[in-house]
Amino acid sequence: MKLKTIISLLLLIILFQSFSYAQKFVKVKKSEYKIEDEGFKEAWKHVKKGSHFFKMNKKGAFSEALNDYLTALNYNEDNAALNYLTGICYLKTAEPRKALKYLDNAYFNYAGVSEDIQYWLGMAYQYNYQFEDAVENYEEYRESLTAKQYKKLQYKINKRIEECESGQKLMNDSVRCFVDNLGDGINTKAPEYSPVFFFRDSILYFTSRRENTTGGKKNPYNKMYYEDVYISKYENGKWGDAQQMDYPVNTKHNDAVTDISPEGRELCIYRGYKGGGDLYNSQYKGDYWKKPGKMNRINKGNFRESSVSVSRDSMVLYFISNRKGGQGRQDIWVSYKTQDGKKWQSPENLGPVVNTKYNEETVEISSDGRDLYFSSKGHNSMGGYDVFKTHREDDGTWTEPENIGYPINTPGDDVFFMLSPNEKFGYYASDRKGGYGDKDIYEIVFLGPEKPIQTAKENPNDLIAYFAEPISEADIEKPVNIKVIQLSTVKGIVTDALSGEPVKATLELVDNATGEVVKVVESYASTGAYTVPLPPGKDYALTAGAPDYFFHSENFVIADTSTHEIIRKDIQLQPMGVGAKIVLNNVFFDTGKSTLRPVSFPELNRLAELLVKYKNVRVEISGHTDSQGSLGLNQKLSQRRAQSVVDYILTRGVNLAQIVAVGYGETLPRADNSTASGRQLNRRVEAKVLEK
Amino acid sequence: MKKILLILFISYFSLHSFAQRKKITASGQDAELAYNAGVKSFLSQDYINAIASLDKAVELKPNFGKAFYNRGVVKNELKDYESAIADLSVAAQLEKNMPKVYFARGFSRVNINDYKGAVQDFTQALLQGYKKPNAYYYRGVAYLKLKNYNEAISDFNKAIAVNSGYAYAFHDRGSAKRLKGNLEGAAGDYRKAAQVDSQLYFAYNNLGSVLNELKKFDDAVKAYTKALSINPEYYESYNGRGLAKYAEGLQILSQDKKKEADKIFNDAVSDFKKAVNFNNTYAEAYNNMGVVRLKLSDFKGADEAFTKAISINGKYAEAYANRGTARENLRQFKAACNDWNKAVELGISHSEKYIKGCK
Repeated sequence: MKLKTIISLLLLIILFQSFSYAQKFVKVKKSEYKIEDEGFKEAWKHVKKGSHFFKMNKKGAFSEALNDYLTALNYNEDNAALNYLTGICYLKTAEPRKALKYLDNAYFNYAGVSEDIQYWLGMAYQYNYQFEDAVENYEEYRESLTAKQYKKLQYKINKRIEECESGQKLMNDSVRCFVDNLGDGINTKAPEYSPVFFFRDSILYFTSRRENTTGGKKNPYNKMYYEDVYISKYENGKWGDAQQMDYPVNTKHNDAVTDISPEGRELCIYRGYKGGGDLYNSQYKGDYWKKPGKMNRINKGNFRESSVSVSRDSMVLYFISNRKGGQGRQDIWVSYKTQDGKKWQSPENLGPVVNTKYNEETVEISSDGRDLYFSSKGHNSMGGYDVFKTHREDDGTWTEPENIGYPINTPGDDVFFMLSPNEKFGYYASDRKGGYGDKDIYEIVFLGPEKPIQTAKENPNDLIAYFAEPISEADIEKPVNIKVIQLSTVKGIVTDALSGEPVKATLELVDNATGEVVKVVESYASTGAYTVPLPPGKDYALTAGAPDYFFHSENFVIADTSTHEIIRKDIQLQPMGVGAKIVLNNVFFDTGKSTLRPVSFPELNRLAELLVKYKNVRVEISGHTDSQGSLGLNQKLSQRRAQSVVDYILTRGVNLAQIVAVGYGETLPRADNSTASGRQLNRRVEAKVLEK
Repeated sequence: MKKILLILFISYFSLHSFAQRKKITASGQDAELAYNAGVKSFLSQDYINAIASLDKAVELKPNFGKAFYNRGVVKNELKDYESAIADLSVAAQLEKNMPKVYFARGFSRVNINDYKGAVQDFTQALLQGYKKPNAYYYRGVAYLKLKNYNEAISDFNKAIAVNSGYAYAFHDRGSAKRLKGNLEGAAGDYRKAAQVDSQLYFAYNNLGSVLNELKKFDDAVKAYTKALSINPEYYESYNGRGLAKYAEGLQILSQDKKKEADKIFNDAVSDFKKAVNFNNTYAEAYNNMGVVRLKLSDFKGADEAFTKAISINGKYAEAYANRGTARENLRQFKAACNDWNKAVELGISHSEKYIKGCK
């Protein structure tokens, strides 16, 4: 063998080993396992059986081994080697998160159970999102390696550490979404994956490895049931129980759906048997699917082509292949149809921006042909396969793939991602926590960036004190001054002119200017006293009268400026007897004439009423003057004046016989004619009782 | 003997005094009498009868300027501002040198949001020699409403110069400063207002609001609490305190202390509950309650709160947008889309981004 070939082979072995870490088989020692006789024999059988499966080193076999080891642990749960093996089994099967408990237990009981225990512990922590603890264990494991081991294993360990660092970053910047299991109509404890939606009819095609697989056999390569294609319809708010598709879609070997044409009439299928696999497509003819034919221009020799996605216009096809000429192992390849649309051209590798030295798996092109979703163990995966997105620029180059983020991606395998036409929903397969078992199909609801939530602004009116707490600003104008009249008082005592005894008399005050009666009061019978408040500024006539008495009259003026004046008017009433006489003080004549002024009439009316009442009474009305002027003229004037009075009284219904007019001129003065006041008093009219 | 004389003296004096005290109203003064009756009724806070009396006064004497003025003042008390303005305008014509007429009319105008007219009237009052500081104060209020903050502050300064204990002027000067962005200045004035009048609960409330903006959350909460100690039913302060706690919670959340933040958020929700307890039509408090519940991931509770806010104010755009977020988190995507569409319709432009995914 040429040296070159040997070296190449050696390199290949190293490379292979650098990309996989084989778990060590640790033998469970009987002496360490046995704790008591009871139950030991049965338990030991499970240990041996489990180990038998473990050594097969196949996914399906690890599941079998797990069942036996768990049973064996019931007998002795603290055996380090058994715990170690159980942990490894979990890591190799569908529930890697559960490995932590057992590996931790193994390490706790015996840190030296296996020289690689810390590597697996690191992985177990990683699956449980405990990245700091994972890194710590990876680093400690790395420190424990010999130089030779380090050379061989460093890439693997460093990769794991990088995944943990990615995991921490991705968790700190999580994507806002819901990730919901599609439910038990689709998912079971067997693996379900590769969802392909025909949205128009709400139909889902997917792949599963179930016990009822066509042919009922397990793939000897991985000891798992062969894949079959299933179909489910969304009705009444949920996915109906999935139905297995019939031949020719499903065969007794691996049949996995990978894509469907936009009209739903062409199904792309992966078929594999012994580790390789090819892409097929089947046409829908009325009510059945035709036998799938190989996609000859896409498949190549004994290489494995899996997962295909065809652009909406059917002109570009992306697929996964492990053929030579890629960046390493499985890569994404693209093929373009010829101009006439009839043939696929020779595929091209999508290049080192998208592809990595690690496996790329599953691919999906968006409906506008610009975004490509795929899974990869490279780039900044947080562990296993993560879903990435790359964008095709106008110049045909692809952007640096972007991890679509946590919680969609997990430390486990996250594959077969696709978007709904409105890009609100995504679908993929994952072995994340909370499934029915192994991989399940999930729906992702993208919520987009966090929506701003707005609190309400405060009430602006409260910024102003007056509006927050109104106050009164009333400044009422003061009351105005009101003019008041200060009253004067007329008071006095009414007595009998002869006896001097008090008389209860009626006193009437008249406003001489208007003739209006201002007040009427009575004097007290016991005292004869009377009091009358009167406003100033008037000329009053005061008349006092009582039965069987001549009335008394006089007039007086209260000046305008008078305030609180007290005017004393004592009145002596003349009893109505012969010789009784009164001065008619409120009878007035025009100057030098005998014409009565109308202001005289109230007084004369009173006299007339008296005479009408007392028909037996006969009175003399006498006129008097002062001494000014001639005797003869004064005589005549006084006579005429007396007559005027009589004439007026007669008009008031008084009998002529009751009254006579006499003029005395200046012959009977009652006061001194040398003074003005005396002369005024002398100018008068009197009434005297002649007969009664 | 002395007793008799004393009795006589007292009797005479009483009689004389009684006589002396006898007065009667001169005639022709009915308008004045009615006016005075109006004043008397007003002072007894019998405003209806005051109006009736003043009505009579002006009917009897149509040029009775003071009666028109007083009637205008009474109408202000009765919040019949438009009618008060009519009366005060007549009074201004009849009483040429009565600056308080312009003050009273300016006051009426403030109350009907005629701030420009109010400024003119207060200015006229001051030009005519109006001496009281409240003319400056209310003109300052009018300027504040007109967003002329510098003029407002100048007037509040003048009011304070006349009356150094004018709590309202301090308070509103603080508000003017706040609106100008001078938060520290505003806080100082609110404190001063409260110092002058310790019962000014709204001063404490506004102080809390400013402190909240200054991110002094502890002090803000204390200020709101003080407001509530004075007026336990001041729901605005419960709302404000809730907002301060919410802001504080956000700050703590940004330090990755979720448990501590959640405790404060729960306290905030309690405050919003108290606010709506005192005012069950307080849509803003319901909205704010919903916001905090969103932060607590109580999406159902948030939905209920936003729904209540919307039931009070059917055009509450923010509440629709917020409820969309709550409903999205409750996986009610159609309902969420409906809400965002409504929010866009009502003017919340950012919601347009979210309805793209609704098709």
